[in-house]
Amino acid sequence: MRMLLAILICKILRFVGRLVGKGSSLPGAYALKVCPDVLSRAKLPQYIVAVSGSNGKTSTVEMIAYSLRSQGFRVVYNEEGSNQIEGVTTLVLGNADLSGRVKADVLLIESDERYAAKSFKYFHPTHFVVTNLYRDQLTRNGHPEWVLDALRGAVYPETELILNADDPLSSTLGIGHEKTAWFGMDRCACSLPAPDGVYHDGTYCPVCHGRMVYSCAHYNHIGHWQCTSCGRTRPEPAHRITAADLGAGTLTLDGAYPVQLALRSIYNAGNILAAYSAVIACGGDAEKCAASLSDYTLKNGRVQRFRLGAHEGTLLTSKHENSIAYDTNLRYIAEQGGDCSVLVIVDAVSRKYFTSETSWLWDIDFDRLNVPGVEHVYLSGRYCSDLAARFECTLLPPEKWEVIPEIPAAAEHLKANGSEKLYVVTCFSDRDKLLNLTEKEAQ
Amino acid sequence: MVIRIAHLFPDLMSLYGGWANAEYLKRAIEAAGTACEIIPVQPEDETLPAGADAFYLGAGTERAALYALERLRPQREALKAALDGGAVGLFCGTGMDLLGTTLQDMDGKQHEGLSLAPFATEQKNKRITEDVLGACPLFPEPIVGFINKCSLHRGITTPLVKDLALGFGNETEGGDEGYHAGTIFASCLTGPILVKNPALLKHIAALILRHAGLERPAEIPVSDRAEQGYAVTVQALRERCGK
Repeated sequence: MRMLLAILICKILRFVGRLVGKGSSLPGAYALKVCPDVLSRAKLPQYIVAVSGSNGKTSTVEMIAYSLRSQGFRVVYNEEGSNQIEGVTTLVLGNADLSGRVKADVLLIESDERYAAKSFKYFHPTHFVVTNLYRDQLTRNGHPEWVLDALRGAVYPETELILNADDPLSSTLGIGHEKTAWFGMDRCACSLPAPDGVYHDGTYCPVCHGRMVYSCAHYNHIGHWQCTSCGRTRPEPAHRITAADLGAGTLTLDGAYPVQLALRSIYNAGNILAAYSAVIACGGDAEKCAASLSDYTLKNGRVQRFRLGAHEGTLLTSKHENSIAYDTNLRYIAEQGGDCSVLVIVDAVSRKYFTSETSWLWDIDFDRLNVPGVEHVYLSGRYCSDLAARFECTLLPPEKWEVIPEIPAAAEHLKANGSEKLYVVTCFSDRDKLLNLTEKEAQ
Repeated sequence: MVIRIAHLFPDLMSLYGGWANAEYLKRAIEAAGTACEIIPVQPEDETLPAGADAFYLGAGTERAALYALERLRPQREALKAALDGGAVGLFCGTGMDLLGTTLQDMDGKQHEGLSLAPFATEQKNKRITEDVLGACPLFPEPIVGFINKCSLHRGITTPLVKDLALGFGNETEGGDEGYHAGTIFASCLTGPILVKNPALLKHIAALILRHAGLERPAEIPVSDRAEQGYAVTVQALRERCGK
């Protein structure tokens, strides 16, 4: 009876919430109050796929859903992005009939890595994809090892882990876990000889603290690693990117299936591989999966094209407090070639208030912009002085960058000057402050 | 003359952009007219650089900090001798955890600390993350920063920051934060504490110059950008706590 009541409350609140455009956590929160163990009572589909990790959760989940649906699977997933237990409850009950049966073949859950243990207390995923673990939102996450320890509480023996072989940290989840499948990227044209960036989290083994060596790196500490002390080494992946040419925007999966990249970033390549591995684990067809993800444009709006005066603009959504998201976008800009300007906006780091926490700016490798094609860099937003203090410690010559504190003034300046390509790097929280001053292109 | 800053374990203890502290010290000393170099010291190194004028150790994960403690313990006498001789030590984040007499890890296991300061560290399973605003007995400007830690530091009577208007201190919300005695400075304020606090940067840079036998210049120039960033931060944090 309590379950039925919880389902009804959830469905009604979800319906009302959609009418008024409210978030998706609240219905689940009320349902949990009525029936705290409602998730253990629900009748779940054959495949319950969880996706977690520092970066790429939303994109990977979206691609898994798209690919499985294109192959005829019925998939439900938390499209609104609420990824803690309340959001998961809304997802499950919102898609259940009154007996609690979820009407789908696959329940796909983007899970906040720190709260996964709580979300999966009452039911366990059949498959758990961990995309990667690295420095992300350290104000709430502490550091990647702290997150790893939190994630361990969500790993159950019966769950098949789908892990990134190239990540020495998150791959430790597979130690002693029998049901583990690995994905990884071969050394490709875009691989680096060794990890790059401002800091080097791959220097020491996360298990024994011995020195690690890399035969190649894809980005940051993600690559082909081996510990010189305990001998732990990158596992052999079952699913691989066997060729990648980011310049041409092409990938090959498992030596057979070509994928054309809508977004030519190493990040996107990694997310596609994770999604491909998950789709196959759910019984999807490899060739059809690769075909479905070819030229797939993410709907999560992380890339937005616009015009500002004579500039053709591209906004690359990074995440504040996530140096790798920034690094990856900066690397993308540097690799595009051609003359361009770059606008970096840091205006609101916390949604609640101004914070003194700007340490993450020092983890970003802004030297990536010190390439001939990048003509000028503008820094804007409330944290522009902190950004400028960081830029003073880069190799960029002082005449190559300047501060325009107010975002409208920066937009006005760019509108009136120049016609080179313009890249904007900022966070979801700040992007509309610029986009609202431009002519946006339809996605 | 070249002033030497030993950066201890720059890859192992590298969380929260702490490298900026060594870099900003170097820049401040150079701006004051003296050459300066940063010497990285790795966990595999058997000895500390002889004649260093300053030692900097930043934050790492709790497990990395325990490993750093293990690797630093054999260097403890050399480090103590250098600090007793007036070299400056700056220990930030979990770097501070190593400094006291004991360190109790999250599993409750007790480790012998470096005993360079009279306090005891306890690492807990709960993380404390919040902004900090407080007074520093060394200069009139308030200290700003951000706490990101799971440690409590017990028994400190000479804190670096007193009477926090905002944030969690060594043991309690709103208490005192960090440790300072002579030329030893420690704080759990994460990351670029010297970029965020130009007055502290100037104070420590002056002590390093003194250790090198140089007079404190009339002015130690600090980046205008850092000063502007500090001003914005102080104002915002004061507004938040109504002070």
